[in-house]
Amino acid sequence: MQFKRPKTIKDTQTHYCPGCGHGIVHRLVAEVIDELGLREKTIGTAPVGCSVLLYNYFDCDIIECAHGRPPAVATAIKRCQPDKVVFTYQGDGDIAAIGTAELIHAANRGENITAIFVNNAIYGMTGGQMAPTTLIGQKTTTTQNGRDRKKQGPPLKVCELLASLEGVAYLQRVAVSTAKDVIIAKKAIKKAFQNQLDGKGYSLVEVLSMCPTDWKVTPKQAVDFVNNEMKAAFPLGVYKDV
Amino acid sequence: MANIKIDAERCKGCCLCVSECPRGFIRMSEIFNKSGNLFAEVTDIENCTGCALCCQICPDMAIEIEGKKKPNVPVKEISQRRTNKELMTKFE
Repeated sequence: MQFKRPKTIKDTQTHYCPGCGHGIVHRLVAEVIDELGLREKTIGTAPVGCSVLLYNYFDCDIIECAHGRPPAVATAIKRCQPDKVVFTYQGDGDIAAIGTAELIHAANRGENITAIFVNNAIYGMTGGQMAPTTLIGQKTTTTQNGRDRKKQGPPLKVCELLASLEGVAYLQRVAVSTAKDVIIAKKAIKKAFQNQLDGKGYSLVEVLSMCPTDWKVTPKQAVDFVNNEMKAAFPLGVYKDV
Repeated sequence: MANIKIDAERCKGCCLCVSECPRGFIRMSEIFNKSGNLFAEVTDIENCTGCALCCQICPDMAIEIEGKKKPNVPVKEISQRRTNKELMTKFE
């Protein structure tokens, strides 16, 4: 057995906090691109959020989009260059808050792109404000007594939301909190890229990830929070597979 | 022997590999790296089987492994001599 850093990842040290799940998701996407041999024809679209500096870490073409607009930009790229492989990499503030319209319409049109959605239940880059995916009772800087269902509503569940749309080919929710979950997540991401090569339509993989800094806990406690609370609020599994 | 290499300068000291190693062979160092973090190090490199679970969970891609071998000591015996418990309490 051999385990090395994938070739699609540059040698640069990431800027993420210790224990952040973004590094794991970066590695999984890069490994899948390596395994499918797509490095020379992949174009990624980066969001606004913690993963805004995606182009520093990926050794393939990355376009930085306006906040929430990666699905729209990816649509344009895929239609202009149908032979390229296009993926969007988005956080929960990007895909579920400001970019909901773009997400739903890109999915409903059945654009043949792959979406990676990293859900950490908080706005990480701006300092820990409430996101649409924040859990009920979770304390953030804008919900200091915990999120209240009556005031802020329940968390937005993107996989369940998109499952009813006809254009969507593949939806799965995975996590990166344990090694076992990471291996499952890689299989899901690989399937999402394979669907695009087969021309099946919109594929989205939601990844439950850790944010120890803004949850104000240690990395180990953040892993426990994902395992015990986030997995209960956002059940893992395949939501759609055409 | 599985050849496990932990890049001390890439490590940010999140300790996820410490809790993930099924045999408890990884612990945090007592010295700092250039960026001021305690980094992960392998205590018993002879008995590492190369299962690569630490590589799977490492967010900074700091661990690389070559080769794999059969364990010569059963897991149950080894997990009793976990060396990292006292060190982990510092981070809890």
